[in-house]
Amino acid sequence: MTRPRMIRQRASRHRMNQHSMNRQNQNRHNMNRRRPRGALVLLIVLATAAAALGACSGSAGTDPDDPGRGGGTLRILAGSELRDLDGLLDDFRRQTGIQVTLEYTGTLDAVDRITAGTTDADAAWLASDRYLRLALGDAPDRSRTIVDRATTMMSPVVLGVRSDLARRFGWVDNKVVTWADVARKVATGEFTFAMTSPSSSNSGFSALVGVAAALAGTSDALTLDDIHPVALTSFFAGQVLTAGSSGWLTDAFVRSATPIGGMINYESEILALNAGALRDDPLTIIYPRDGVITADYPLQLLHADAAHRGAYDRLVSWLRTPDVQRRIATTTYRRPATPGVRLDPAPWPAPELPAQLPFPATSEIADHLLAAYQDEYRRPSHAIFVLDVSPSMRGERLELLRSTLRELAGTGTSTGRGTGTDDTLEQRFARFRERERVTLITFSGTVHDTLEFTVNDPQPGSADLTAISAAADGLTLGSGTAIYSALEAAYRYVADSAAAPADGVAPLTSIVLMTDGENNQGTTADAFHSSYLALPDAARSVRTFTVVFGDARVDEMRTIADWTGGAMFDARTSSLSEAFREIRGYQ
Amino acid sequence: MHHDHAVRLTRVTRVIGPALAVLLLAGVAALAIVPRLRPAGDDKLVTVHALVGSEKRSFLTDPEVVSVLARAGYRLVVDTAGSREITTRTDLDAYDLVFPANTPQADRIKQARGLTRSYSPFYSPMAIATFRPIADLLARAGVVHTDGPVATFDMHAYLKLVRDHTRWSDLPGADAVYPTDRSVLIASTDVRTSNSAALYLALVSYVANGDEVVTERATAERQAEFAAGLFERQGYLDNSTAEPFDEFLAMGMGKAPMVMIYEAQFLERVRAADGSISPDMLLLYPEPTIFARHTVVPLTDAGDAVGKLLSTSPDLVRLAIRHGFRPSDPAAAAQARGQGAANAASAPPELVNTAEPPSQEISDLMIELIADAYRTGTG
Repeated sequence: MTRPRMIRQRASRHRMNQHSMNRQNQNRHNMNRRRPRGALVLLIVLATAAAALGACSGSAGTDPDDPGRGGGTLRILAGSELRDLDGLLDDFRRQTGIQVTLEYTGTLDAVDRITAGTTDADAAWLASDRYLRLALGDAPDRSRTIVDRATTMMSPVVLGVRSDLARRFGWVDNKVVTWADVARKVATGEFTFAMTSPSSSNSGFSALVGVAAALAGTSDALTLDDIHPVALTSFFAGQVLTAGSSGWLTDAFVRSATPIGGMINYESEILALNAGALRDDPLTIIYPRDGVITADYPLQLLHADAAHRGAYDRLVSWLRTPDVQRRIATTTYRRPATPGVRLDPAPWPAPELPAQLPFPATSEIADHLLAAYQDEYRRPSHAIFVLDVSPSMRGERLELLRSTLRELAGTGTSTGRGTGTDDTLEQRFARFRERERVTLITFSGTVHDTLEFTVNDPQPGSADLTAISAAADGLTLGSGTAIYSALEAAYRYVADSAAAPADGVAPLTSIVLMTDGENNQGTTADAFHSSYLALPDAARSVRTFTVVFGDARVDEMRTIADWTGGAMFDARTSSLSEAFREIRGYQ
Repeated sequence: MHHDHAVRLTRVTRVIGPALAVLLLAGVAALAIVPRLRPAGDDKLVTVHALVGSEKRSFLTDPEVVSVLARAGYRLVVDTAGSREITTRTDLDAYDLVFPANTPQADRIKQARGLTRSYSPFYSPMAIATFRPIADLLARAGVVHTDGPVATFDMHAYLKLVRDHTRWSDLPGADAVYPTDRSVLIASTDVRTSNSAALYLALVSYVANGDEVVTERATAERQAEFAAGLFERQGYLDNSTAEPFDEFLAMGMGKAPMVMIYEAQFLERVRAADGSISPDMLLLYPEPTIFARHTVVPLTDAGDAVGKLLSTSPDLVRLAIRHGFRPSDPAAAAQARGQGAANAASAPPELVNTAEPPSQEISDLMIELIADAYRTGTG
């Protein structure tokens, strides 16, 4: 629930890397099979004969690593919101000796890695696996399947509304509010809301899919013909805050300098907020009559081998015991998934789960909604990149920055063909979007250039995107590092842009500051802070997302993110392109 | 399990190192030692890997079933998949037996792998899990009829509601019970992967064809076109029957007011008395209904032994009844009943009006046509 979330995420990935030695030991027989050397080849022939013999005689081996007798490992690719189960999982680790490790990631990244077979995780644990299963159904390699799955807990994606607005709209204790009613309040300008990015976070995706179904007016599964772009564009014009994760969204919603009318998020997040930061004036939870989509947190087994099967089975049955289900409910506000487990009194205002909207039947419809949301329905974004081109960036670092920007422009994929067709889902949805304004501000000891682009054509290889790639290739180095002068210039630029009246809805503007060193000239941190505080509201509400790269100072980057309500991302423990892709969810 | 041998051998030799040559010379003779290297205890049991329809998982992992099998010398490792999915899996070599929910899938696997043996230890009719207020709404609409303790669901009347594009909000009294504009549809699994959905399709095609099994291609095409909407309009569907029933139990009528399941799934919960079946839940029997004959196809001798046990062991038959299944062998059923496995309250009714499934070719054709409808987004 706190800002350092990003850093912790990076740190956990780092820890995963440190564990990789152990992992290699565990997998050494796999490695041997992959790279047989010398006499080992003969051995494998023998081993195969042994296996054949075993099969003939009807005797079956048992695995010496069988965790049934205690111990064992289970590596899980997990959604970032599952961090709140860490304490609970400690109990499981203690009781069983099973080493459960969670590697946190976004839904699309998990889908990419599971469908491509590039994860070595034994299990996946996401808020929902519907999109994953649609993608697996389309995958050319039919052998990648989910071996087993079990739902572990539930939370519907609902609407939390500021209590004064809920009273004014007559929405308190009103069971017949529909998504169309919400759309009407957006259209009159009375209501704005926060929601995560559908291509980064499951709560945003569920909301998009649900609202699209509800506004189609059928309440049955959506077909492409049912989608109402005009109604959806009007609805999402009300979204004034986006985020890459549900937890950060909640923080930013509470801290927002300009009040936001409500938030679409998991019921569990809103209940936790109502019991915490907003306990004096809790949000009114609306369960729209036409329905919602509920996250059911399936734990999915990815490999059928006996050792992991055993650990998986034990974790599933432990999680689904009534006691653990009640503990999950009281600590995280997520509803029990085990039938017959009830809480009295229930911590949620609607004892029964609200009506469920259908999820699309094909990935074609889901992908269409995702792309159309970014290119068409949502408010356009204005992404301002403040980029360090000081001498320390020379060589590999500058090349990484260039390729990161090329990737966002859809021309920097691993194949280098520039068609964008081989992109992963995560890369595809991180790309610059239709109607997006992109500004590149380069600096060293002074601000070098301010380059402005507008993406009218988001197809990879379009003239608009090629222009951004060309600018990335043309980045040149200067001398000195004046971080705060550059940032000050960026905010001045924001203030000037905001003053010029945009046609239609205001874009969602954000700043990304990437540096690989510490400030050594120009404006001081304090001077920047004072000038930032003196900015007009509209400019001051623009958040800065900082990217720690090379020898950048973590404390400087964290403070800037803190002052501006942004977040810090550490590209040293992941990669520059990964950090930028993650930030795209916040733009 | 082949895999396990390879692993252990590789490891052993890594440890032995210099003894490598000796082991190689010993050749196949040395291999015979390997099984004896196993520690005592559980590991004396022969591990049998099974890929089964998800609806049988809780039966096969029941501690009593595990202990009956252990007394016979077997330890079952259970993976689950949709019964139709089982026929298309490419990794069946890793298993000793497969246990789909119906004979056509079993026949297909036997054909594809040149096998002859199979066992059908028990069966289960299709039924509809629902809630009393929903059943009352449907009774008023002439779809549900109650005769003593048994409530039946008139498939003809239901399909008429579907043809008329009836929404729940169109039914008299729905406002107070289920105020949604969703179409009146039975929730099911994905017909492309799951047997229970294929049986639902078989039932619909039989009823819509005037209580005749569909035998002709042209009729199949017509029925598939109509039935595609029954699946597509539901949106995303699960692959195996355990999932929608779990959601029925855990999420209530908000998820789906009626769900097509195997009778066994419901009876198992009733007989377990674990609190998951609340007083407002009930089972409706479609009129006509259709049977799922759960069938074991052994892929190895160990798998065969377990298949045989499931059919013949009185203990396992008794436990299958406790999990809601109807044993295929009438004598076994009678004997097990005699031991008091089933009590009167949850005794399933005799069902006489049953539909036969169409031939495998016709069934595949209809499912393929529905899959096409998904691809083109019509329906």
